[in-house]
Amino acid sequence: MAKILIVEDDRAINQLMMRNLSLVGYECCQIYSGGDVGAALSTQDFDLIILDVMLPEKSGFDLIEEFNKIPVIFVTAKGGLNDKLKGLSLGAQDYIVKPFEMLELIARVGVVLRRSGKDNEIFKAGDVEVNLKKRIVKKNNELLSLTPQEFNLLETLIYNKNVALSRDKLLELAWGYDYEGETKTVDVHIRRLRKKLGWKEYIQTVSKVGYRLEG
Amino acid sequence: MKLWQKIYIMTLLVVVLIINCGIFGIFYITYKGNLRMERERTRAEFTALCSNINADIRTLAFRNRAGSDEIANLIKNYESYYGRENVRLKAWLDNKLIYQNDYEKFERKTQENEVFDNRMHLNKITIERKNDVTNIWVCSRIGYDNLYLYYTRPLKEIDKTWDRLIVYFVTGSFILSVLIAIVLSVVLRRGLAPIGQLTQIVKDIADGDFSSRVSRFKFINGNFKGDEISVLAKSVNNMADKIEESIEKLKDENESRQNFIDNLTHELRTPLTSIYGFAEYLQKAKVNEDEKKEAFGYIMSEAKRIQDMTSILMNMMLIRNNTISIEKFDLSYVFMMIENTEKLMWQKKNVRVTFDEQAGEIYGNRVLTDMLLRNLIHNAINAVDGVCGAEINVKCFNKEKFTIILVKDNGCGIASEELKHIKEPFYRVDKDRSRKSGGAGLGLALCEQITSLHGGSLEFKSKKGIGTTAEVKLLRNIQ
Repeated sequence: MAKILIVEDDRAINQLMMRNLSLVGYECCQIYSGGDVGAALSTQDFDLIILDVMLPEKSGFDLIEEFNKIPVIFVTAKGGLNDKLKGLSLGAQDYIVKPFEMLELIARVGVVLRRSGKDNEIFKAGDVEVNLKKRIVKKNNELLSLTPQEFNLLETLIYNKNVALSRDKLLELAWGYDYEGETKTVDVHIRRLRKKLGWKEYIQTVSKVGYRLEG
Repeated sequence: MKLWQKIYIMTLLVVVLIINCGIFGIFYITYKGNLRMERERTRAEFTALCSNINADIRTLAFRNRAGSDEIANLIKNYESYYGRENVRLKAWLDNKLIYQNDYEKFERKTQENEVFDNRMHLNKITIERKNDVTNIWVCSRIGYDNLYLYYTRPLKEIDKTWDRLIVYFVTGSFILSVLIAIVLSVVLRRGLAPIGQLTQIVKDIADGDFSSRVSRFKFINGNFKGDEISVLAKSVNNMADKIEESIEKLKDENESRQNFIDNLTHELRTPLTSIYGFAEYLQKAKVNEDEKKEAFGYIMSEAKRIQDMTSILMNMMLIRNNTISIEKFDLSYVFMMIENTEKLMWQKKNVRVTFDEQAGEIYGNRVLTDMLLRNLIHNAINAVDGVCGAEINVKCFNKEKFTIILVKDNGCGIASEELKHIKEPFYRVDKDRSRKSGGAGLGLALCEQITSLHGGSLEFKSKKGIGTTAEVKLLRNIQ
């Protein structure tokens, strides 16, 4: 399980990020001031740091030079191109501008963690085991055959587990931006996944929103 | 055409003209003088000649031998006597030419039988120039009624001198003109070069290089000290200073405005992110009752933050756009109004707020003063939060030109390096705590605006652990 350090002085936003990231299965540690980063780093190892730029005591741009190997994602209200370029040129992996959406945060964190090989490769629920790297699904240690599109949908659900995804969002994430299909397609594929994997209770239908994978 | 070239050509023309006229004038006067001398000499010579001839003729007549041949012979003798100086003589007796030089005969054949011209002015010395030769001649009647003597002499020396003078004049004036041309061009170029440099500097400034300056040494203290060019150079430097200054000021202003906007964006986006985020969380995640409560709590407190901030911003904007109206009011009345609305909160937080009034009625804007006092008390309340035996004292009195209001607390105090920044918009002393209490860091910026509208100031004195005093000065005779 990947461990994430959240450095953000605004309590509400810090709490919000912690909640969202915990939801999809990361372990989070919260820090509210730039001055406390050193202490946190000396006692624990982290796979990723989410860093606010405008921090009391030490700014994010100053802090980033202190951690050499841990990937950093900046979160800031400063959306100007210059600030983005500065953040990225200092070695940050990504740059999230407030206000951000939940799914954006989860997706960006996931991408950075997978790039450094720290994200979970295997997801288990019930008697099903999904290997995300090898793109294979086993049920009771027997290989299940899924179409590529079914696997894409499954992958999207796993990456955003415990988060309800609307049918439109699912189309966008699992099928791609340029897919011009009907939301019915999503229902058909969800039905097939539930049947093949036997995940009737894991893939929940959330009324008026969409679907949510629980695990 | 450049300025120095224009001046150069004009000056050169005038100078060369004057000098040439001068030289020519001097030469001409010399020439005239020489001629006058020749005239005098001729007069003397001719008078002597005439009297000699007259005497000789008388002698001849006395011997009765004064015939025309004798007279001609006599004249010929005189002529040969003066012949060395090319003097030629002619003589008429009874209107008949009796003597003429051979040379003359040869030269002027047509006058072989020349009859004396009665119209000729007698005794008048005439100088004539013909065919590049100057001659002097004179005619006179001698003794006898009908003997006329004609005397002529070429002025060879004068001609020669004149020719030489002309050569001198041409070469001399040419050399002089060239010299003047060269000297003038050097002087003008050097003299007007600073204008070129000044032009370049002004151009640089126009192109945006505001650090370009005219060198002080060369222009203001050096060669051009005191003249118009140094005055111009000084003015250009002054202009550049002023421009640079105002550009810097504009830049500073722009920067602080940019900072304000950056901060404002940050302050607005942060609570919005939380509100949106928690709402989204509630919609999409499977949440239990506790999480739900927490999320709603955050949404409400963050929305309150935006609300507070916008109301203060609105106030600041209103104050900025309006001139304030001044009225006479009692500060204790204002304090009473505040006490009425805030009393419950003070009691809840266990803070004692006292008011010490010595100023009486003051002039100012009542609503703004109310806002000011409320803000300062609010800050003091935050500072004493959690302090045992918390006490806030508001004191007002008159001192010299000002009404002074002191708001004193025995709270946690502010570190001196933070004290410098506390009036800046969006600055918070203790970020963490202020967030909890919902402040945006705009209160003191508003207070400062209010005091400066009253012609006063806002200062803070603080010691960590002992407390903070806010000192408000309001101008008393503000009308």
